[in-house]
Amino acid sequence: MLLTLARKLMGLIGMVLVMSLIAFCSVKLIPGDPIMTMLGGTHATQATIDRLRHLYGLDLPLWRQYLHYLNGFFHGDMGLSYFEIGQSVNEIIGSAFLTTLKLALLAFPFVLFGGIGLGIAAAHNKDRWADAAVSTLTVLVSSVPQIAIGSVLILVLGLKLHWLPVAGFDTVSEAVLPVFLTALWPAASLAKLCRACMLEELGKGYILTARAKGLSNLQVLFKHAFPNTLVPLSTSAGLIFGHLLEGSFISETLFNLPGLGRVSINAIGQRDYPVILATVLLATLIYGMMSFIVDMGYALFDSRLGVSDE
Amino acid sequence: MNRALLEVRNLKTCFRVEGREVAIADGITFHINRGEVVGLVGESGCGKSVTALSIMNLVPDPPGKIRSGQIIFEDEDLLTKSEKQLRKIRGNHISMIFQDPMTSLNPVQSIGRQISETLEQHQGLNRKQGMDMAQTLLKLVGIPSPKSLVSEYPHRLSGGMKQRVMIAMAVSCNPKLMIADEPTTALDVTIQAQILEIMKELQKSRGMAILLITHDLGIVAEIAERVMVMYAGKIVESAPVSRLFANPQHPYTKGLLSAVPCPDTVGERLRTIKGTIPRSGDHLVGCRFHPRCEYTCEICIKHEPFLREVGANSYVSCWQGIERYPGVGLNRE
Repeated sequence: MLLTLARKLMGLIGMVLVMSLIAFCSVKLIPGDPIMTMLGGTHATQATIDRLRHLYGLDLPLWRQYLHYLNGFFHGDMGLSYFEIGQSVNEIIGSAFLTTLKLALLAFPFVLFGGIGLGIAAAHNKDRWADAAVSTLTVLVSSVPQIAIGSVLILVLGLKLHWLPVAGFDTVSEAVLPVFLTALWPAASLAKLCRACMLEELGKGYILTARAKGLSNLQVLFKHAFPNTLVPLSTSAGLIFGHLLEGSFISETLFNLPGLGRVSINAIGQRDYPVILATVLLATLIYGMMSFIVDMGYALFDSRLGVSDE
Repeated sequence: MNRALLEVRNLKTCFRVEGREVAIADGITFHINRGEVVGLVGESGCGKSVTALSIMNLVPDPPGKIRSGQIIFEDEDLLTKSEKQLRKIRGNHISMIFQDPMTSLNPVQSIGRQISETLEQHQGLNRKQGMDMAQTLLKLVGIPSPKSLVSEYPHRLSGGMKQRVMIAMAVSCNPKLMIADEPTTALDVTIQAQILEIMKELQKSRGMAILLITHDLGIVAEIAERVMVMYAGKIVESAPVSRLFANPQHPYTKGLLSAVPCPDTVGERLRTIKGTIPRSGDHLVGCRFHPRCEYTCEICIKHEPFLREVGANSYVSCWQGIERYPGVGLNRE
């Protein structure tokens, strides 16, 4: 058990190293010069440019830049932003991540309970109206772009009916729309997966055994079928949570939230290398951690997937 | 109490196949006495399992539906009972074991918990009492170390062991009737014998009746007292085992028995019944077996035969041996 744990953690560190290299290289491949971007259209002297280059370590050979960066990363210092002069990357990412984390934590329960609840309801009522309703809803949500749904919600609920505020994230009523929009797509995809998994399990022999024991429909659904879907569902839920933690450019822009999604997209536009690198590594870390947690969860859900040291 | 434990009258169970409703079990009538072992034999697809599921009212709906008939269990018609009342009977008074022990147990629940569940459901036991009882039951079905097995999961068990667990589960509430749907088909021969032995012992010691569904006449000969032969959704012959094997009446039964290989026929080609069973949904007029029967005459093609008594507890559904057909108005030949 401990050995497996250690091995998985080592794998995680390896993955971060590899990703840091890939991210570093791809950032360097983005056309454009960060110093020139930083200076904008001003006519700076060559001396100023050289000084800035030296200040940000951009005059060093690439491999030294990488090592320097890695060293900073493992000491928890991601360097200085190229764009927000004087601000450290830690500050920028830190505050954006807090906003995103808050949104993700609020949306995730809705994703879990909404998605799984709808999925089970649809599977239990296969080929009846409840199933058709859930299927229609999931197709609708996954095919209409988030930005369209979001705009319509803002327009109708916010601007026309004045039921909900359209920006901000500090009060409950302000949080309703962003949380709903963020949870919508993941919930639909989880519902679809849950329905398919439940239908597969409900067709299996042990379900008939359970019915022949005299169990009720609810007992059959929740005590027998559902626990068997936990492995695929937890995999998906883990990835969804990771995805939520990355932030969403669209909903953050729509509701004017200073989250990770906007920070990372803006950083790419501004050639803000340290911020880009930091967001990529953060995402890697998040996904690594999520898959680590999900892996550990498997053993809990299904003894056949038990963690062993062989 | 002289009345039969279970009486099935005119059961008709239909399934929707390609948009049409097809009777899979069509006018099934039979009874099982208390403590009796009755075999139900027939080819795959003849409606044996559907008949069994109908008794439990567990026919998957959709696509299946019980259209008519009565299922009288202890003087009460199960088909008029509510789902809630039926749940009190399933697993408690009538239990069932299935063909494939590999898929019949929940892979993510421990063996003990799955056995205990039935007891908790019907006998009001708590988890701890149920688990203790599970150990006793596992011992009863010949599992060597029941104490360690209760906390095991199904994937650690062989097919034979799983079927023992299923039997332990099925007898846990002392049912009056156990329906065994091809309980040994998925197992190899030595294990088959052991499983049958266990079933026979439990049946004797607990006085429960068994409806044994199989396509293996050898198994029927071994443990059943009475046997019913099913063909294309109908019971075509029913007789005590010794009589059926010694003196089969229906041409189909004769064909089945002659198809069983025996030591005298070593080296010969195995006998078969020519033709194939009708596909479900084929329109059938007259006797369902007539396209494959060597004795077919005009009436067999036109009119469906009915079960008639040909001896003590013996019934056959065939025009053969009847010289005049009252009510039909046709003479043979």
